[in-house]
Amino acid sequence: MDYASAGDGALVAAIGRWQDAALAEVFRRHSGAVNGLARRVLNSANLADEVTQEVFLALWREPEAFDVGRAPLRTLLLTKTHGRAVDLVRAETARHAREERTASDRASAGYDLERYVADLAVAEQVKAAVETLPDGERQAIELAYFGGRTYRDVAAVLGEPEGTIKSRIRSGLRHLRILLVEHGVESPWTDS
Amino acid sequence: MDRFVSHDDLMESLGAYALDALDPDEMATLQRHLGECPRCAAEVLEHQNVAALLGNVGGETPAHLWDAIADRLETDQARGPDPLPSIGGPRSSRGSERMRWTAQVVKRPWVLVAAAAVVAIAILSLQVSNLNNRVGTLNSLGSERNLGQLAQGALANPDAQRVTLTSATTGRPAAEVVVLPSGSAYLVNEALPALPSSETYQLWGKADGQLISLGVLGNAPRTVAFTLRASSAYADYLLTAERAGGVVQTTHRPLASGGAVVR
Repeated sequence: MDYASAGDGALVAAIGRWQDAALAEVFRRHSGAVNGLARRVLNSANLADEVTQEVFLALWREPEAFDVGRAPLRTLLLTKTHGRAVDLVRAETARHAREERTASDRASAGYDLERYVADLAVAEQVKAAVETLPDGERQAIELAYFGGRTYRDVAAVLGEPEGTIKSRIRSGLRHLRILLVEHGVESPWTDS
Repeated sequence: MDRFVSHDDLMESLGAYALDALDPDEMATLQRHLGECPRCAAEVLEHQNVAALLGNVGGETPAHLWDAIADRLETDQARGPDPLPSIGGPRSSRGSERMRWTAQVVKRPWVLVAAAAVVAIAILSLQVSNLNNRVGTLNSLGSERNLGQLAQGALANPDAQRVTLTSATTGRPAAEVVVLPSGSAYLVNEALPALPSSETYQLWGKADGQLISLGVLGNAPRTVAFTLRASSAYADYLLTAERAGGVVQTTHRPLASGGAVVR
């Protein structure tokens, strides 16, 4: 099987048959995004690397938990990445570690540059859509998602009622989805 | 949890849930709800897709990361002897072809042949197939949210049926089966040892003296989700060790079993 041209669904199925090379190809395609999100949330290269390893090992050990019929593999990987990164952010040890800001280990590994360029184009469109959100929704989403804060923390930071922040996060995500659909970037990672 | 008294309240938390921005107790409450409310589960999926786009900040992968992962794979107990591929190297299919994904296993020819040969076995085989597909579906629902937390939520549900499977060799609890009124069910491994990769655990429910396969769990299951028809909770559950891929009918003694479902 030519994994380089296989869709993500076929790769996950191959991982289900213990095909190491399929995991390597998934890593090549998606590790930049996984590591990038973990780094953004954790603000620590070392912790981001740990999370990246955990995510891909989870895929290796429990591929059935990554149902590409339900969502694109990139979405599933990033959802898992964010959940784990937030766990670490909220752990006391991580709070200290993220102060250290290590920026080492930036050398390029096997890396899908073409996919990265495509990601950048999508990221630009997403960024533009986010900027059109009402300030209250945008702030709530950014503090929660990239700050790893609970909605209660966000409410405290912004001096708003907790219920208001919860509502803003939900309505902001809905608005964002509508904007992304209008720009045709709602599902950039459909399987090939 | 007291704060969530209505469906509207739960729905208002779906965005925060998708961003991992709920407190742990709220998260657990909502996870239980999502297992039983397709509408809310669908909305969460939409939010997660948007969140993934937000989080798709990208970047270069540190050079050492794949090597570190490859080292971990080599020490993974289930891994075979084949050499790991290099990220930059050829991507040919050279890993071992050990089967471990139960949803595929039920489609193997030998299962179909056996099913065609004996009507009774065919019925059981169909049940195996259907149930295994459900296993995959429900597993995926809980995938990003930690299946273990979902199972813990089910275990805390006073309306759930719980069965402790006791090891035939040690006499101690080996696993816990919990069945929610909706039919959503979980098996939580407490002390089941890993089997060789050529074998798998298989879960059975006993009804009218017959064993019905509820799922092929793999050789080292941790927490597994599966679904029963709401009206088909079993009085007894058994775990056997079978050849990888599972069997239509078992001839093996159970490694662990339990009954006396408490509702």
